[in-house]
Amino acid sequence: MKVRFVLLGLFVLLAAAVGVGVGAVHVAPGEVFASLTGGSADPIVQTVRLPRVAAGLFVGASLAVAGALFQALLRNALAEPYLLGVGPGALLGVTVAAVIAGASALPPAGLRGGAAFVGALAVGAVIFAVARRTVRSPTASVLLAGIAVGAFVHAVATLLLHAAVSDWHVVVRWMLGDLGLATWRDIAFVAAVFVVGGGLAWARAGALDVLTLGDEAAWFGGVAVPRALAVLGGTACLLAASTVAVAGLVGFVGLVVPHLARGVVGTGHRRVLPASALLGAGLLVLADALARTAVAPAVLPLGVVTALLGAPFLAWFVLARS
Amino acid sequence: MHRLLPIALVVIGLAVVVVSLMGPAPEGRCLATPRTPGDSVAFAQVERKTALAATVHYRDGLDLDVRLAPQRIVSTLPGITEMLAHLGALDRLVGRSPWCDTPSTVTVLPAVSVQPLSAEELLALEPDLVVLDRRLHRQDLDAVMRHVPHVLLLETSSSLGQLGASFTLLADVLDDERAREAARGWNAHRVELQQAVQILHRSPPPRVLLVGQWEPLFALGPGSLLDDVLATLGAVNVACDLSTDASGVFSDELALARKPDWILGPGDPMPQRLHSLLSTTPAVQEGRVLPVVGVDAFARGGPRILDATALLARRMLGYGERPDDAPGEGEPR
Repeated sequence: MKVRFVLLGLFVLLAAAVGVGVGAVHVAPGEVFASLTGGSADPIVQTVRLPRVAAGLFVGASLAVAGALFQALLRNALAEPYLLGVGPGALLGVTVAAVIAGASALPPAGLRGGAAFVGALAVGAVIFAVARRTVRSPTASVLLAGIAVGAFVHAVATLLLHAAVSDWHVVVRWMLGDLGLATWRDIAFVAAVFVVGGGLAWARAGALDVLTLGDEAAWFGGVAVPRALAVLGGTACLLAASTVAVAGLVGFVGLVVPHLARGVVGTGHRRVLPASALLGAGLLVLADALARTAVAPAVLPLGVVTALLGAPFLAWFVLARS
Repeated sequence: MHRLLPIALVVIGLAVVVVSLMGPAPEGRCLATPRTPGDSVAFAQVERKTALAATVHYRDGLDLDVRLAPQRIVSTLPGITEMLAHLGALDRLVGRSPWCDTPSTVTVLPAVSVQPLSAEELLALEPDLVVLDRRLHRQDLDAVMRHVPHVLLLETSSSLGQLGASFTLLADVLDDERAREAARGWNAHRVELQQAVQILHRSPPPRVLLVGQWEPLFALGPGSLLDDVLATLGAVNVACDLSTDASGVFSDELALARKPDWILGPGDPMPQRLHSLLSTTPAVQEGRVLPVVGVDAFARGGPRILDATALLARRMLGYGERPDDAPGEGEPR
């Protein structure tokens, strides 16, 4: 098992190396290395690529861990922040904050984070309520509820943006996912949330394992189900909200990565969570490198790249299970 | 689920290989020399049928019947309204877009929704001519032409040359000798300015980043009217290889690597992140960041674009500083 984690670690390092090494402009590998080690200060590496890679690492890790948490708590293999409407809920929170603050474009990062968390938590509470009260076909009900609530809040957010935010092109771009807007302060924010949220989730990994067996088994296993759901569900919402605040809506990472992680390290959450974090971090950095280089000198929205990669996976997964 | 592992590894491997093999985008060849300004060949010809009827034959094969000497005109863009004013036809205007505010007298006219164009509101004004921009309204053209009988398509947003051709076409349809004279005058002034500025072209040409919006960095590329203004000034657009139609989100690192000498952007201040990012470029270091894109005279493809171009030539090339440089019409000396 250790070997697998070492390989995952190497994958993240490789992805980060690709992230800082490639882009629309050719920077010689020696120059990149010198910039990273303080030997020189190439502004492209230091001011463009490094912040994007750092943001990608933490956003990807947070999304993947959030996805793993949602899948475990809802006992639903298709659960993830975007499909469940939690991401759009965070988006609505940010939009409402922008309107209340009278902002012409995006509100400051701190306000974005708080507002995103409130929005995500509100939608998450609705989804969890539906999930826990549905006896027949809970999988379909949760996904339908997520899709319906997600579409609704997305529409409301778009309406608000159109009506009240003058520089809404910026916001639309952010809604499609973009690591380029992240400042070092934003990165520190998402990193701090990841450390706290990821640590909390990992500490309760045993409870997650038991919860996947069902409420009854969890009770007999000594897990206080409502409390665990509140804490871990809130943590998942917090992780998802922090990514929306920093990078906008990035879909499918939370769905795909936990499944990949289970394929690598098995099903125990003490291993799935860190493996998801590592895979999510590496994959999002690679997706961002693709977004920056595929149509250079233009830049693709990050959410478009992750959707292009993740949607076929979703289709394949559904077909394989049926 | 373990069956996913090989698929995942293949996907990851492919992604890494693809990204690694892509390598850098080649330095655009278009950066070496300024683009040639757009031609002024007429994109449409008016064929008179009767005293009050004509067919406009567009270059791409489209034929549209129009009423000559229209008396109830609706303008759908501020630039078109200003063109009508320049041609002395403001008294025939019965409707405008919500953005049309120059000259100020037009603001009393009813405004029609233009995003998208409302055929209902257009019809309610009973126009005998609706003037549209072919590129800017391309998504609405079919719907409008189904309902409104007389439509004139101009090209006000691509180049100074085509703007001049639009002046000529509009004057021909207005069927007024004074309008034709005004259109000829504007075109003569355009040619005069282009020739005067050409003498001042520099080598190497100044590199300019045209920013439509700061965050994310939304650059104006080939096909935009401002790109043609740069070509007229003998400057190079650093987003000249942006393949999207006229504008798009531009790579931050390319904006930095191509070291623009000038940044022409919106009126609002450059955000701190972008300012730090571009702090090593000559444009930022020497304070050559001009608010241009949001300025009406530049943003609207109308008659004032020549004065605005002359002012830009003064800032960038020193145009008008020598006695033999002809200042632009209406340009302060």
